[in-house]
Amino acid sequence: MAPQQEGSFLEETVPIEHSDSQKNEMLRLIQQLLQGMGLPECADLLRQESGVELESEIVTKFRQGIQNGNWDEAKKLALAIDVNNDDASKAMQRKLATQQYLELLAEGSQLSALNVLQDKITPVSNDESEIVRLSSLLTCTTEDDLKTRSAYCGAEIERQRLAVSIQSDISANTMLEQDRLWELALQATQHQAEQCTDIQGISTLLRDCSDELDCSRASKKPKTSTEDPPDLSQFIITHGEEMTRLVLQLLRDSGYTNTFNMIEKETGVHCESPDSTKFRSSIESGDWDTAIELLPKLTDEGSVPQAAFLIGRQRYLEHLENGDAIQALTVLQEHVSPYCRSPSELHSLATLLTCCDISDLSSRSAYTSVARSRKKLVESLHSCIDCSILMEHNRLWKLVGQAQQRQREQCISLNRPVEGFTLLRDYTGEGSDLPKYTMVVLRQSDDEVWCLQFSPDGNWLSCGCRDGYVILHDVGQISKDNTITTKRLLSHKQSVTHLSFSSDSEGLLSASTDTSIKYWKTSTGELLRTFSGHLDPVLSVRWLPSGDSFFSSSEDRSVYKWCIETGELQRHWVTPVVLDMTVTPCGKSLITIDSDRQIICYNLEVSGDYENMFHKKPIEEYSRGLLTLQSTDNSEPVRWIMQEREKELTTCELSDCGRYLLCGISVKESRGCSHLYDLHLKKRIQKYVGAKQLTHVIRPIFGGHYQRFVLSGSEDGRVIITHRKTGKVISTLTGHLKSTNSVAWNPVRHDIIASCSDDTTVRIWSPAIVAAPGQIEEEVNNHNDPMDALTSTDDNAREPDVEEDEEEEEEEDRDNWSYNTYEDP
Amino acid sequence: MGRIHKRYLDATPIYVCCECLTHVVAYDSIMSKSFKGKHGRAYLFDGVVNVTLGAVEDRVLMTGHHQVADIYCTGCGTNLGWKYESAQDPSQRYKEGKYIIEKLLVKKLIQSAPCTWSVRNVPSAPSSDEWTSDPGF
Repeated sequence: MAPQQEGSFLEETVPIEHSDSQKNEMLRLIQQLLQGMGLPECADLLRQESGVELESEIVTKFRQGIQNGNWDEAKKLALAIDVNNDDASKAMQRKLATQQYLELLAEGSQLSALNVLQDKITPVSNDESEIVRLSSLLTCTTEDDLKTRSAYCGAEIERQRLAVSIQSDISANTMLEQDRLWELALQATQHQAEQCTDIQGISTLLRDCSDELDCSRASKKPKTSTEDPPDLSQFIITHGEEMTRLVLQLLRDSGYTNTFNMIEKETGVHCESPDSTKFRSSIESGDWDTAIELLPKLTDEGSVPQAAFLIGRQRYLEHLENGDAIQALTVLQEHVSPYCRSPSELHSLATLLTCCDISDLSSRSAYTSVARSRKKLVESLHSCIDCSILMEHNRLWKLVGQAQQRQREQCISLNRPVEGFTLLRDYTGEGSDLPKYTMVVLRQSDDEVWCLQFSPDGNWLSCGCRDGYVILHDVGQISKDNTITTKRLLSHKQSVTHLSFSSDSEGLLSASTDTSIKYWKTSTGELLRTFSGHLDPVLSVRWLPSGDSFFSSSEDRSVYKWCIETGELQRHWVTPVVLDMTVTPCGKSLITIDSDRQIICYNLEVSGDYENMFHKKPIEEYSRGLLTLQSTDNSEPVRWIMQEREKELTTCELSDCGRYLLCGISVKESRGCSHLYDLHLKKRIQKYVGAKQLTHVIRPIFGGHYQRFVLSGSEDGRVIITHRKTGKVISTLTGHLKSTNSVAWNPVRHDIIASCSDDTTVRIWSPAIVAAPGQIEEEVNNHNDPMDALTSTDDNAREPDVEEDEEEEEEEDRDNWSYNTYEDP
Repeated sequence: MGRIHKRYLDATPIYVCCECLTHVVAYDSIMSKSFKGKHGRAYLFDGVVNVTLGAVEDRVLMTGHHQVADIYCTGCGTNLGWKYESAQDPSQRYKEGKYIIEKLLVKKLIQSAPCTWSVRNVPSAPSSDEWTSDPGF
């Protein structure tokens, strides 16, 4: 599985490569921007300095031709321009000719207009009705009449519109989209605004907007998603100066100093004040005294100590690196301690004096090399100095990166890594890799299939059926010789309720209504062990990531922890019936869903009894039908409990990063939905509607590239793919005849999913129509049950008392469920 | 049929379906023991779980004309009794919305003591009425 960062659902961050092609594209965009700002000489100078052409001459002339109305020349040039395809070329001709026609009509020279219509438009147009409409305009006598009948707005505006519409026919590479750099900046700000909760618009380009700093107090209403598309021209006016500064910064860093100076002279906008430049250069060269002198000019009184502390610290560490302990000590005394706020920080710095060499120093204090740590120092100073005085490094590239991120997120059905990103055009992610077609229908089962799991390495698919069979399919062979080998494992006496693979895919556990749990070896299908001990049907079973023990829960209101090797019971406790559970990836917590509508997180590092749930009084919090009790310290046996007020939770799945919990819900009245909970915020953050979940246990799961999607079955046989972040239903797969109980997404090959159903089949889906794999059946010899975990007999299953007479009776209390002693029924 | 989601009752003793042992109703919600169903004695209960309702029909019972709906166990589909939807006779109105379960079709089950370990029993956890409004999304 792709490694994921602990603590957040990673949206795949698309890295900015700063490749040569992207740098060239950036320079072209800057030239376009300069021309748009009215600085054509600067654009020229940049072109000379960098050697990158904004557009080829042909295109420039073409553009001028359109603006001036030289239609013949424009038409000639159009033929020479690189277009998307043949239709585009014709379309361009048609648009040029139509514009000429309309302009002639507006002037009143109808005869020449008629000539144009006959000679130029008709040959290249496929659309009869268009020609008819245009010829009907011949009867217009005045320009106003033309306006009302054809929405013609005057030559100027129409020509601009023409330029814009022609762009769609020409590749973006040849003719740049209008104000492309501004467009990217706008997308970047939209991306930032989406990350915050309360922002209507951002205030500055130089710094990412955040809730604390930019909250618009004027309007306390929550952000609506139906905003008007932002006004680009307004945006340009507001942020013109900031954009100039960003461009200057980029030019300076790339080394185009002539252009840099010229722009500064022409516009009067300075990239940074001379003080800032001096400050920056003094830090980079190590001139600490100057830097400290300049501090009061750059920032306000309150932040000076903080900044001085950081500078002093850097100085100290550099002396240590040189091995100059005495100097370092002097620095510590004179320049660091006056500004240090906490004594413990000072002490930890002082202990660094004992470092013998640089590797020791870097391991203890995160200090790397001089150049890099000085850069980091500048970055950390941003917390003290305002961003407009000391600009962030590579700010323009960062904005472009955010625009890229946003474009990536707009393609919600994309299921593979991003490639081929270009600055000149929005990323659309051609083609979706989501599964659509049935690859194969597996019919090995004779009875309803209730659960389905892919192994973590993606090679095995296991399904559990109502008649007790566990069926293993070897799907790893599909890529090699396009076959699926199937083994039917003779197993439980009653239905299989849950399956779980170990994290190395070597072992498989199956839980069943016949109160036993069986442990299989995946590669051969042989039964390694049977675990008996529960008194009632086992509802769920889950491995620990370490692979040496597992948890199981049962209708007898207990949760057991077993050791795989020895088969003995390690831990058990009483709870309301646990319907499903899951273990966090770090192995430190167990999260259970029980029939009391609670989600309980147990602390697995604390041994001892869970009977007293919280030793100290927990913190309580309510939010919208969800009650949360949070323990106050980490040594408590239970970390937190979330209680749903009304919804019945049926299943749960944890995301790979361990932060998000997806729960299936069974609601009798309405259509049913699944909930996504954020376990760090202890809130319900998303609801997925679409599947029918009234009485059955339907298990929704995460899946896809970076777990972008939520996959769910449904009682009417559909398989539904929804986008995880927005909750939008992306596609529905049909094919099963009855309720689809469970679904699984291949963790390694993100384009394969599987679903199982009451119609006894298991279907595997893929994005394209492929030849169905051949199916091979293998026999597994499993007639003996080796080594049961505890002595068990068939009488293990508890029988409830038979109904007695009316007189109130004394019945034997048969609930000594302590696992070691069994009473005869 | 798929795996049916079952609710589990946390009380003791409880009645379970005789065929599939699905929890049906808690003994504590008995309202009256003196009823007669098709198979003999029957009890009147206040609230049941894991049942589905059939169609509402008119029936003439020993106590008069009623509209009832049969109830079926979600686990196995056995007809366990019926639910009173409405009664013609005003004196029978107390039955409306209540359920009749036939004694012969259920078994009594004694469970271990209800768990002490539920949010309800944590000191100072409030009752559901005190939760904030707007339960839905």
